[in-house]
Amino acid sequence: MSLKNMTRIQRIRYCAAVRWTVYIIYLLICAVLINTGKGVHPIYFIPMCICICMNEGEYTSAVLGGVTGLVLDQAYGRAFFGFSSIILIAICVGTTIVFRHYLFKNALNAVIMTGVSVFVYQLLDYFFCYAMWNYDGSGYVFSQISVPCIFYTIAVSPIIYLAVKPIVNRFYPKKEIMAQITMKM
Amino acid sequence: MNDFFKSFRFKVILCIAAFFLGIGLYSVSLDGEATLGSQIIGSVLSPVKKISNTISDKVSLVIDLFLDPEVYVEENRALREQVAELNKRLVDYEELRTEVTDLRKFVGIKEENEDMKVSRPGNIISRSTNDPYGSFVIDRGKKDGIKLYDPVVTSEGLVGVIVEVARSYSTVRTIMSPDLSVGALCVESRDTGIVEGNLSLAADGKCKMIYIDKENKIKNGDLMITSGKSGQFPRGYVIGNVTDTGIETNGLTAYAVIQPCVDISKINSVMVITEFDKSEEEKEIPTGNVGERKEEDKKEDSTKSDNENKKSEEDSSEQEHPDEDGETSEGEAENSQNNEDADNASQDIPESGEE
Repeated sequence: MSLKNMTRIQRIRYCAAVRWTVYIIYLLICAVLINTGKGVHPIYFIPMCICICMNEGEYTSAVLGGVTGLVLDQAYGRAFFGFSSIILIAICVGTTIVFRHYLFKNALNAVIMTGVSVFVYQLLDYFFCYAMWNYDGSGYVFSQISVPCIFYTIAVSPIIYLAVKPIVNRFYPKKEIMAQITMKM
Repeated sequence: MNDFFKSFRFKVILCIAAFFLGIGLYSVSLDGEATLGSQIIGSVLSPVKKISNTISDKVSLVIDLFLDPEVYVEENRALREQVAELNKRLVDYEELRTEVTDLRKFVGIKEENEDMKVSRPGNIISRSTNDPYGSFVIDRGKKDGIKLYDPVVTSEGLVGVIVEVARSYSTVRTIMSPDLSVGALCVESRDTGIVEGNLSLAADGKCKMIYIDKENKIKNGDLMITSGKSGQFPRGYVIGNVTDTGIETNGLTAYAVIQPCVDISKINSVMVITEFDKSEEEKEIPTGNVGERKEEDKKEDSTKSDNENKKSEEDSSEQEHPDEDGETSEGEAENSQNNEDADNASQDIPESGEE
């Protein structure tokens, strides 16, 4: 059955299935990249979640943040498995609300949102994992790992935005997007 | 915006967040056992990570070869020199080995590592993201007999300890982590201390030995091995060499900076010691077998000396030696001297065995 012959509901379901299949593949690629090699890695999941959540609802964002956080915690090898989930749920839901009410969906806003989110994430990570335990030379972690990580993540966010945008354009119900823009105006 | 915080949606989202918080708390309560969620994600990603890391390692090696060929040439030259030096030492080693084997038989010490059970070599499938201590994940887990807190080693020395174990993979915390403490012993000076990680030293791939007596004799280049006191690590595993020493800021104890023998950032495979005799140390101390042996030796020596004395008495009576008591006392003195030597030897041997 071609796309034209589908009913509206069928079309929405088909688009959602394809969209989420691609998103899951993207997230898997991010998981592989973050686990590969040595040295400081950008947190690919944060810009990816922001680019996805810009166009999704709160529930979807919360679940996406939670699951992605678990994958991120697995990569980090955290003892508190779920730490990143809680932060990413807040980031994802916050992104959805902010982009629905206050910001336009463009690359610059996505990069700014990524910058703020990754900064908050790294700050909390530094505080709870190093500063709080009063390790000798914990400032080293912030200057040599957290700060480069923030910059690397901001640097990769436009690429991730460009990778997600065609999926949104092609597989997102256009009427809904238009309705959101009208609401903001 | 305010409406959102009062809405039903917000409450549902809070419930979702609470669910993930619950997962977190549950994972902490498991104390190193991987949660179901972690195991699922780990099992799904493990094969992909393994492949991607293999590719990444090979690509980075090729890039390194092109970018820094001088380093490899220099390393190759140094290794050639080292091989030549080691070949020279090998001749001495063979002689020493024979001697040590004989001595071990003599004092009844068990062959080193005889009681250890080591897992099959495990490959590193991924390194913990942005971890300053170089923690990593290996492709060996519960199914290979690995348990929580099992020591992880290579042929070069100690690497770390298992801190999370799942069925098919395990997470290793390295000796550069401040959360891991290893009892250490200096081979040369016999000074003891605790080897711990340090954030600022971890950047250079080093760790720190603390709680060393201020009046220590540790110097740069000295070799540190595991002391085996805690029972968590087998005794006598190489940790690293001392690169720097000093007095702590509190002025009470000394410290030594250790360069681990294992370059954790470059290893690709490790082994896990799944079982070892934790009472090994007690057995090596010359109170058990050695002491019994010593007594037996004494008895043998005394019976031998008695026989010899009797013989000498007979001889002396035949060869005009009137002072029989004096002869006997001399013999006893000699025997007691021999026994003392034997005592000293039997006390020294385990010392060298420890080394």
